[in-house]
Amino acid sequence: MCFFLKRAPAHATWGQAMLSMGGVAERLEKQLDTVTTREAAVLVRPTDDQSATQTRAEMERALTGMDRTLFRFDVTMDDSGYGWAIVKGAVLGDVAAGINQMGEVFTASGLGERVMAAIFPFMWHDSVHQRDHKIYWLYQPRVRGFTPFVPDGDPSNEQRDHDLEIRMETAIRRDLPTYRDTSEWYPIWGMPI
Amino acid sequence: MFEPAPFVPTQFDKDNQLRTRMLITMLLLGSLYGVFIWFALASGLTIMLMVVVVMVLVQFLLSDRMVLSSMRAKVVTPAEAPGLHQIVDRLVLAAGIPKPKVAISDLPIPNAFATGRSQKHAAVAVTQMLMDVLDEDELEAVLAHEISHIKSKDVVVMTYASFFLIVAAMLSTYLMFSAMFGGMGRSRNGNSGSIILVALLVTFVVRIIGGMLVATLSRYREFSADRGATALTNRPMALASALQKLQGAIPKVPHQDLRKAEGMNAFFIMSAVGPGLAELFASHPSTAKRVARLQQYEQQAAFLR
Repeated sequence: MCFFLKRAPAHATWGQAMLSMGGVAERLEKQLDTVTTREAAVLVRPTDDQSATQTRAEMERALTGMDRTLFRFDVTMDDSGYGWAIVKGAVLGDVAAGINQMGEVFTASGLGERVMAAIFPFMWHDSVHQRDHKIYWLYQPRVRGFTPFVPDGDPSNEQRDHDLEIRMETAIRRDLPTYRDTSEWYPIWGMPI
Repeated sequence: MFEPAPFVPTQFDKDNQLRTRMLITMLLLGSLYGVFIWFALASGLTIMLMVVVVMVLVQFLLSDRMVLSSMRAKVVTPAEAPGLHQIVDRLVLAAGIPKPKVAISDLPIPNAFATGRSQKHAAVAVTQMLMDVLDEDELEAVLAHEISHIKSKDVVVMTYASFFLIVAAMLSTYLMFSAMFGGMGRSRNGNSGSIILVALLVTFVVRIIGGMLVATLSRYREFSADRGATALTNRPMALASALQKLQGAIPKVPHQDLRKAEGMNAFFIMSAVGPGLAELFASHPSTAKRVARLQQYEQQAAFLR
């Protein structure tokens, strides 16, 4: 595993990370054939004494600070009581800008420490095997870098395609601040995006 | 369900820098051997040299079967190991060489090797354990590496490269014996004794420098076979992952959901400083270097897929 660490893990702040995600659209879509699903999400952890409804209300309150003319967004709760603030946009650059602003408004309303990840889904078509893969890039503020996650097959089996994750990470590491220690490449099963 | 990747001839077929280095190493080796032979002939060791050369030649001609049997490898038919034969068939087709014998060894180590003095007399062998440890993509990558050894006639090259090294080794053994037992009778002459000493010195020097050059060449051949395997499968990361597996350094990926793992991390806050500790257990340098190169190939291959 150590060869992944040969170069120091790239550290990027929330703003830097979203800026580079907005900038890799060309490389991701034109050269690597990974196409954005035109949405992305910020995952927010509930506090111990909070119900899903309360978390949702708190997030929506924070999001009133967002510029509604530029972004379309929505809050969804998952089964574990975690909040998903989902941004939709026409191009990856817009989506990344929306996620960037969400990070700012969440931080301003004291939710910053509960942001666990920003999640960017992509579709990749494997022309050899004629299969479509959903590829997720997770920015984890905890490690200050992007980690890949590629679920494999039926989501209920909770299998991941680690080979493809490594391939994707190798292909994009020059353009995106990825975190190379694979022990931090956490999956998120059953995402709403 | 495994499906074969189509063969795409790529730029991985050639690496001019690697080729130049190999050529220089071979030239150095050639001149070293040239000096060695000149010395042996000039110092009147002609007959001894010829006897040893013939002996080593005979050994090499018999080596095919000897290597297989010394590795406890048994040649298997397509009926006995259909999966293995299928992969080899595919790779051989892509590489454009005659199909080698396919053998399975029951040695309790995960390993693979290619042998044979020519493409027609080649054999490729894997241990049963290797097949148990690797998945099909990785097994294909390892076999592609071995097939690529056969294609580039590596066994032949290494045989020639080490030929005079073995000759020098045998010669120095004989010289040592004759210095010990034959020296007494010829001590009146004086001259013969010193020639044997000089000859011993020369063979030792040849063995040390030659050994280093052969090892260097062998490492280049390994890199070149990795590259060849990439050209055959266009999947460098499968080979990288096989190498890591064989080395026991399988990268650990968490299975636990991020949402659950975060709570756990709060208790084990030290996990945030993991990388530094992991680096202390740095893996075998050669595998690291090979994987690093394979990752470079991967960056190029990503465009071709």
